[in-house]
Order: sequence, then structure tokens, then C-alpha cells
Amino acid sequence: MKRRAVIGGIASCFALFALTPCPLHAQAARPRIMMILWRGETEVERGFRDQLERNGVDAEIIVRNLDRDMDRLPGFLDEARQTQPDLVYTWGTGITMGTVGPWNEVDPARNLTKLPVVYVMVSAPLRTGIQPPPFADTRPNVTGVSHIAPLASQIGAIQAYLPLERLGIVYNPEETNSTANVEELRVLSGSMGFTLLEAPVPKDADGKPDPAAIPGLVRKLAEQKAQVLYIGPDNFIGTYRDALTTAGIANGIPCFSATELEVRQGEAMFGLVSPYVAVGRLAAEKATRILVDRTPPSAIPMETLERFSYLIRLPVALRLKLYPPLQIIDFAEIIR
Amino acid sequence: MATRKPVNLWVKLGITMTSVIVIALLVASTLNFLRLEETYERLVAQRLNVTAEQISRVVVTGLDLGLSVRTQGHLSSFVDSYMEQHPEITISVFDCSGEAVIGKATNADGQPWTRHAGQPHWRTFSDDTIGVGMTVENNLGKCAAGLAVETSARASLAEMSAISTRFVLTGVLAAAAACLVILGALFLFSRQSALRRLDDDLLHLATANANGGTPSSAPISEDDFSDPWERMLAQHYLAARPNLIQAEAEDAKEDDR
Amino acid sequence: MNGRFLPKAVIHSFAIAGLTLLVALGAISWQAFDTGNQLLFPELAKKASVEAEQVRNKINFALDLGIPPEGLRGTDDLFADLRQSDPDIAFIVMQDPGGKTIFAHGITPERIDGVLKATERPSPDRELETGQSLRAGYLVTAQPVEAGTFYLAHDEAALVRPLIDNLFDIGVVILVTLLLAFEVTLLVMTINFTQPARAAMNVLRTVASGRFDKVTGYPGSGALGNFITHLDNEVRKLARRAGTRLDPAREPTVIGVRLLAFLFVFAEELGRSFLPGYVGTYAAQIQQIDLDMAIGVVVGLHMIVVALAMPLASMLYPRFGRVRLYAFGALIASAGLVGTALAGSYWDLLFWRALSALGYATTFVACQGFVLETTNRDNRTQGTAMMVGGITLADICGPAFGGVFAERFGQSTTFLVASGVAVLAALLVSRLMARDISRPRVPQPITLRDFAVAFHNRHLVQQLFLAALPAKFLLTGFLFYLVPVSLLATGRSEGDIGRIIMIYGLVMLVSSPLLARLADRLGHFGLFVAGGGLLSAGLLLLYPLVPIVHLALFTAVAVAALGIGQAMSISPQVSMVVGMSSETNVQRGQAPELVVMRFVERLGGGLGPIIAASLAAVYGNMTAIMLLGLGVMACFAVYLLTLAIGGRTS
Repeated sequence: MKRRAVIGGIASCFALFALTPCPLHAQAARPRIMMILWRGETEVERGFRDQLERNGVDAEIIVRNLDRDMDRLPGFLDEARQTQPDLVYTWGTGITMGTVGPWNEVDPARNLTKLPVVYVMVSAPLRTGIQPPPFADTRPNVTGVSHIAPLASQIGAIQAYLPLERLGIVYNPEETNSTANVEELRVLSGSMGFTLLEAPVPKDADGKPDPAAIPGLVRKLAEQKAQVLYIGPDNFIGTYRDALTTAGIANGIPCFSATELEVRQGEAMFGLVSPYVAVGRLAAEKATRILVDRTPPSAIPMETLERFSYLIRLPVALRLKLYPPLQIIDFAEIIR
Repeated sequence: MATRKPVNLWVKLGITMTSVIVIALLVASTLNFLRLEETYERLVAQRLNVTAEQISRVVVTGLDLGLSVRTQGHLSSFVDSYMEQHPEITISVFDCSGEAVIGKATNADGQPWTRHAGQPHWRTFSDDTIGVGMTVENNLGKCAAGLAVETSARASLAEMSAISTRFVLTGVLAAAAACLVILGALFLFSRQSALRRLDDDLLHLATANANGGTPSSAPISEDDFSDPWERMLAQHYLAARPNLIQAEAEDAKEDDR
Repeated sequence: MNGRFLPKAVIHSFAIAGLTLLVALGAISWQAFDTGNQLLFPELAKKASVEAEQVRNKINFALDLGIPPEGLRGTDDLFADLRQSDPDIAFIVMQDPGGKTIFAHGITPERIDGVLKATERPSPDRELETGQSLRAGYLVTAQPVEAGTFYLAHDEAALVRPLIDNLFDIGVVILVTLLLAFEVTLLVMTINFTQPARAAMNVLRTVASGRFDKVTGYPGSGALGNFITHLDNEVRKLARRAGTRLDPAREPTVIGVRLLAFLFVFAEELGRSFLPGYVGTYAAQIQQIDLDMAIGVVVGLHMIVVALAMPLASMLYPRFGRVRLYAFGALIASAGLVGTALAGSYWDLLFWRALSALGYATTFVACQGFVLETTNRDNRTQGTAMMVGGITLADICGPAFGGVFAERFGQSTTFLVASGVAVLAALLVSRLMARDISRPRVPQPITLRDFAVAFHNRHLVQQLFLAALPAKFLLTGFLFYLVPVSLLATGRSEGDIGRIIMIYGLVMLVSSPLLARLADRLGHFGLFVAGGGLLSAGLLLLYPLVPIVHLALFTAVAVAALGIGQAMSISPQVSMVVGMSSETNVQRGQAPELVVMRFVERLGGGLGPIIAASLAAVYGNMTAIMLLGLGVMACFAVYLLTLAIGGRTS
């Protein structure tokens, strides 16, 4: 299999070489976008393509799918260095970090430093170092769209549903993005007037977080009178989210999520999310500015959507008898 | 000496008071009418805003689903059914370049929609319509559509001008009536002036010698005058009267000589 | 013999005029209310119907989702949102088919049945939509929902509320018009009746004393006119025999100064209620100066320039004479007001306000000179009182009328109208200002020697800095700056602010003569001054405690207290200062102490807004008011102490 991949890779390199247009004709030809994806095309890409079309940008999109294997990334990056696409599109924190590196420790050997890069679906660009802090200069070739609403907005969304006093969170203390998230919540609990009840998942005999502990943790949180369980950007919890939501419902506690799928496909009761489609659209807007207006990425801000979608999973709400207020029903997307 | 006869005091007073009354009543009528008109427009605009908010929500739902205003089929059916239920209302939806997607191509003033591009809310008036409008933003924060709700108000606006005429007319009539009352009162007062009696007595004194003899006692006393001013004049006159009679007598004697 | 009252007939006709005006106004207002209800009610009904429909859809949607009726949440936020876009809404109620209340906002549960089951008022000519009824003073719109009925109620009185508000504006306009009419009537009567009558009495007095050397000198018409003409003819005939020379008994007409003073002060006062707000829009554009300070400077600048320009105008007086000086001043003031209306930037505005102030000072000096030249020592007080009366009247009418006008037609337009009034004054001066110069006099400008004399006088210095100046700061800082600014910040309109400022003038007008007489009778001038000062500032200390909702009402009361307090102090203070100056000066008719006090008061008055503005910039409006009141009260407390120590309370 690996041989086939290598031959395929070399063949495509030759093909790309042959098809590489002359520098002189670069401007007149179709712009080329290289997409590096984690698990194939998602709704994000659909929104991206759709918006590009609407903006009148006729781009050639070359899709490179990692199929959840990070080892493939360097190969694609080499390809990019040789074929010089007009734009590189990266999906998710892992791929983006591998492509451009942290803002203050860019490695020219491994990272792309000249080609413009637009990222999508990076949940915490500031915390992970992809986005430079406010006092530093913007990155010369990187911009993108993150899909998580600001944490204060999320808490505000919870407070709009019910008066929040105690927020519970079950999380994996081994994941840095998770602990950072909890730290942020701790800070917000002071200013926004709620108590954070933390329930870190203990390790099992193998030293890995123990999914069987989840129901017990939820029960303890229920005893502490937690009103809502927060689902953060935790990969472990993401994998075992159904266990969490089921335990929550059993104890009468709803789950709140900042990502779409937990509410749409899972059993979280509500969430403030960016529709994947909208993320793709915003990325396409940035791509258009780079490709057509020739704006450098350093002049295009890394941002989230202006307006998020409030999702409510109705069956859970009815089951828990936690009914949404009328004003929220007005503008929320109700999933039946 | 031929001088222009100065205008009668009472006439001057009459002019002053009637002008005041006329001005005051006309101002009051105008203020009332303006306030009425303003309240009417506010009520209509509030009603239209309710509809505009409703439609805006439908548009936003569509936008969040990724549909541009032009491709929101559910929107046109919603708008059509709404207009059927409320026939006096016209709903127009247009894109951010001002092109109409549903409904009319211009607003009630006849201006193209681009005039209102970017304004979050606005109102329009014309001779026969009142309208409100708003801009709808997509979740990227940019203009996605504009919508305007207008109602034909021709009947009411025509009634407005009738009302304004009625108010002015009433103001004029009231002013005329009040002025008549005032002028009548002033006329009566001017006739009542007791100074006439002083004047008559003075003339009588002045020409008495020609007519032979004057009564030395005055036919008038100060108690005949109720007004303080006239009473004071009478007092002074009565004090001076004896000297006048005496001087007249001496004057006559000299003439006789 | 004073000629302060009018003939009874005129008073009667004025009363009749006032009554007929009120009746006519009643008729007009009745028509407005009736028409208003007819025109506006269908609109209210339609609006209510649409709003109720919208809520019904929301409720039905929620019920369709499976939410049980008891589970409908956020209805209080719904009510608040509804009321925000439509303040005429009174309450909302939802009941299940059995009549049990599911939720209710804006009405107590006990009253619900009372209202919803009250007998319906029939409305034959009112167009109601389906489900609407008039009950118990409400327009109730009922919408069936899946789990019962939803009721939305509007206050029936909501329609007439704007018209009732209008009555206040109309009241102000009527008051101003009536006051103006009174002024003009007084003028007409004085020129055509009072003065000729006095002249006739003068002639009759000389005749009674045996001399025939005076004639009235007035042409006549009407009953009095005929009498005067015949009297003059008779005296002339008899004088010819005695060979005596005839002098006219005609007095120069001072009464015109009332209208003249009124006009130029009215022009300036029109903008009083909204000047800080107006300046604010310009000041917001410049970055160098803090906003509050910038406003305070412009408001105070006017008074400072007036204080400094008056001596200059006095120096020009001999050259130009009073008529030309007044016309000149009025035209300059007019130009300044036009510039204020059309100013392009903050610095422009500063210049035009200074120019306005220059015109104001010039006209003021011209009027002063007019009074000086046409009165002798006997009736000088009366003449000055006439001028002060015209100014007080303008202080009452100007802010109120300007506020109403600005609310309808805009602030710039109001300034333009003010400039028109100033031009009118310039045009009228030749008719109103008698030209005869019986005694050419010049209003003396203030000299350094006056300052030396005044400041040597310890009592005067105490009076000035512990009583007069603090009172002036209070007036200009509170009434002219903090009141408009704080009321504007809470969303009050120019009309409301103008009416509140008018209260000061009205209170002063009514209470000054009464309190002056009281002070004269009781003596104890010092106590009156101190007491008045404490009263005027007392309520200001409570400002930080006043809830915003009652701010306008409290301010009205505080302004009234200010008026009474200052009315208490003004006349006794003048008497005290006259008492402080040396006998010789008073005999000569000049008191440097008084002159200096007036000058320093005016100058200091200009600092009032600046002080208030700097306090507001640091502490905010409410605290600034309190601090100002505190400072003034402290000054008056110390003043009282010095009086007590010196034993000078009477």
C-alpha cells in the first residue's frame, strides 16, 4: 500500500509539474487552492466552494485528504512547496499547526512561510499559538476562521436559557486544550456570577482516562446541584459524548456544547454553534480577498462568525422539562 | 393746525387684544395638528414594524441555512400569504445593490432602494403611503437584504389635510368670535367714559360768558367717578374749577371793556 | 402719585380677553381630542391586532413544539420587549379554556377578572378588529391560542396622552402671548392715557394754584383727548391775557424701556434651555478640551464678555447717543445669533457668542442711559423698575417659548428667530425711545477708583464673596448649565427644560415684591440674605438621592426654591450695600459699592458655568449639583457667622 502511495504521489507530482503554468501566465490562469483535510470534505468545504462560486472566483481546488493520518502531512507540504498553489486551505488545529507552526516558533524547514494559508475549524487559535497575541504583529501568511463562539458568549447563551448558578464540567485533565478551557471558565465564573464544579476524569489502570467513570462523576455533580454540564473542546469527551449526555439526562442535567454535532447528532440539549457551512463561507470570503484583491493575509483578521446559531434539541428539553423561553424559541434552530 | 387725527385709544387697544387672540389661537391650532399628525404616523409605523420584524426573522432563518435572499422560496410564499391576509400592506424585499427581489422596485417616495442601503431602520412618507424599512445582516455581519413594509394611507392622509383645514377653520372662527366679544366690550367701555362730563362742564365754562352767567357750583362731584383715574382727574378739575371761572370772568370783563 | 395701575376699564377688558381666549382654547382643544380619538383609534386597534397576532403565533409555535402551557417561560421578557417597542401596552394575560390564568404581566392577579369580565363599552363609530373590545378603560385584544386565550391590553388613555402633553406646550405659548399682550397694552395705555392724564393733572394743579403757564402738550382723541384739547385751548386763551409763557407739562416717555429691555433679553433667553446641548454637539468635535468644560466655557463666556463690555459701551455712549447705541447693539446681537445658528465649528461658535454678548451689553447700557436721561431722582427707581420688569418678563418667557419652539422646529431655527427678534428691537427703538433729552446724562463706566473704594470696604468684600458671588454661581452654574445638561441626559425635551427654567422667573416675579416688602417691614436684612441663600441651595444637597424617574419634578421644585431664596435676598442685599456706602455718595446718587458689586457679580456669574462644568466633568452631573449646593451653603453659613460676630443681622 505504501508503495502505491509513493508512486501515486510521484505521479501526481509529475502531473502537477506538467500542468504547472508558466510564471508569465500565472495571473491570467485559474487560481489554485490546495485543501488539506482531516477526513475528507465536510459541510465546511461545501460552504467554501459555494461561496467562492458566488463570489465569481473560478478556482481549481486540489484536495489532499489525510484520512486521519498526520504522517501524510509533510508529503503534502512538500507538494505545496513545489507546485506553489495560490492558496493553501487547512482543516483543524492539528493540520494547521503542522502546516504553519506557532506564531513565535516558525520552522522554515517544516512550515510554509511564503504561501498564503487559510485555516478552518481551529477551535482555539490564540491558545494554541496559531494566532499571535494582540500585542504582537499579525502573521504574514496566515489567516483563518475559528468556529467556536467566545466563551463569554457561550455562557451568555446558557444564561439566556436559564439563570445559571452552578456549571458542571467533566473533562480529561491530560489534554492541554481541555485544561486551558477549564482555566478560562474559572476566570469567567467570577465575573459572570456562577460557580464552576469541576470533575476531572480519573485514569484507569493503563494510565488512560477511564470512560466508565463518567456516570459516577455526573452523579456527583448532580449531588452538588450542577444545573448544566459543559462540553468543551475535549477529544476524550468528544469520543464518549453519548455516555456523558445519557448520564446527564438520567440525572436531569442538560448538556451545553459549543460545536454543532453534539446537539445535532448527539443528545446535548443546547449549544451556541457556528454552522459548518457558515465557517466555510467566511473562509471563502477571506480566500477571495487573497486571490482576487491580492490582499496579504497579514491584513485579513483571524476571526469567528458575527452571529452564531442557537441550537436546541427539543426532545431532550421536553424530557428534562426544561423549556426554552419564548424569546429564544424565536430565533433558535429547533432540532426535533 | 391741521394735524392727522391720532388713532383712538380704544382702537389701539382693540388691535392689540385681537391680534393677541388671533395669534394665540392659530398657534394652538397648529400645535394641536402637528401633534396629531406625529402621533398618527407613529402608530402606523409601530404597526408596520411588527410585520417588518416578522419578515426579517424569516429572511434570517433562510440566510442561516445558506440561502441567499433570491433563492428563499419559502420567503415569497410567506410574503404572498401575508399580503393576502392584509391587503392594504405592500411588502418589498431587495438585495443589497437595491434590486428588488420581491415586490416593487422603488420605495414610496419613488426613490430607488439603494437610497436606504446600509441604514438599519428608516421611515418613508409620500402622499399616499407610509412605510418602514430595515436592513438584514447575515451572520458574517454584512448586508444581506433590505426589506420595506408600506401601507396605503391615502384615505387617512387625505383625511389629515381635511383635519388641518378643519382645525384652522375652527381656530379662525374661535378667534373671530373672541375678537367680536372683545371689540364689543371695548366699544361699550369707550362709550361709558365719564370724562365726557368733565369735558362738557369745561366747554360750558369756556363759553359760559358768551351765553350769560355760569353756575358757580359744579354739577358734578368726584363721587360720580368710579374709576380711580377718572376720580383723580375729577378731583384735580374740581380744585382748579374756581380759578377757571374767576379767570374767565376777568377775561370777559376785559373783553367787555 | 404713581401711575402704576391701569384704568379699570382696561383691566376689565383684559380679563374679558383672557376669558374668551380660554373659552376659545377650550373649544379648539375639545375638537383636537375628539378628532384625535376618531382618527387615531382605528390605528391603535389595528396595531393592537397585529401585535396580538404576533404573540399568538409565538405562543402557538411553542405549544406546537410540545411545551405545556405551564412551561411557557420568558413571558416577562416578552412583555418587556413588547413595551419597549410600544409603550402604550398596559398588560398581557393568558388563560386556559377554564379561565385559569397561565401567566399575567402588567396587572395584578386580583384585577384580571375585573377587567376581562367587565362590561363591554359599545363603540358604534369606532372600528374594532375581531376579538377586540373596550373594557374598563382598556382596549383588550383577545386571540385564541391552542391552550386557551391570550389577551393584550392597551391603555385607552394612550391616545390622548400626546394631546395632553401638547396642552403644556400650548399653555406656555398662551402665557407668553398674554404676557406680551400685557406689555404692549401697558405701553399703549401709558403713552395714550396715563401720561396725558398725568400731564392734564399737572396743568390742573397749576391752574388751581392760580397760574396759567402750563399746557399738556398732547394731541387728543377720544374722551380724554377731547378734554385735554379743550383744557389746553382754555389755558392758552387765559394765558394770552396774562401774557405768560407756556411750558408743556409733557414728560418724557420712559415706558418704552420695558419693551426695549424685554426684546433684547428675550432674544438671548430663547436659547437658554438648550444652549448647553447645542454647544455640546460642537464641542464633541474637538478633542483638545474636555466636553463638559468646553460647554461651560461657552455658556459662561457670554456673561464675562457682557461684564467687560459694559464699561466699554458706556464710553461710547456720549458719542452715539442712546438710540443709535441701542440699534447698533441690537444689530450686533442679531448678527451674533445668526452666527450661533449657522456656526461651522466650536471656535466659530465661541466667536459668535462673544459677539452676541457684545450686542447685549451695548443695548443694556443704552437702556440704562435712557432711564438716566429721562428720569429725575424722584422717579428714577420707577424707571429702573420698568427696565428690570421687562428683563424679568423676558427671563420668564424666553426659555419656555424657546424650548417649545426648538422642540418643533429645531435649535438652529430658534436662534435664527432670536436674531429676528433682535432686528425687530432695532427697528422699534426709534418709536419706543423718546428722543427728547431733558437732561443729557451718561451712564458712568466703572473706574479703578470705584474698585479701590469698594474693596476698602470690609463689609462689602464680605458681602460680595460670601453672599453675592455664591448666589450668582448658583444661578449661572445650576440653572443655566447643570439643569439643562442633567435633564437632557435623562432624555427630557427642550420644551420641558424651558418650562422648568421658566419657573425661576415666575417665582421671582411673584415673590420678589412680596418678600421685599416683608424684608422692609421686618428689618433684619442680613438674616434675609443668609436665609435666602441657604434656602436656594438647600435642596441641591439631595440630588444624588433622587431617582432618575423623578428628576424633572425634583428639579422643578429645586428651581422654585432657588427663585424664592434669591427673591428673599435681592432687595435686602441692595439695601445693605447702599447702607455700606458713605452718605455723600448716596446723596450724589452714585454708590461705587453697588456698581462694583454689580460688575463683580456679572463677571463672577460667567465663572459659574465653568465651575459647574469642571465639577461635572470629574464627578458627574448629580454629584456636581450637590457639591455646588454644598459650597454655596458653606459660604452662606460663614456669612451668617460674620454677621453674628459683627452684630449686623439687621
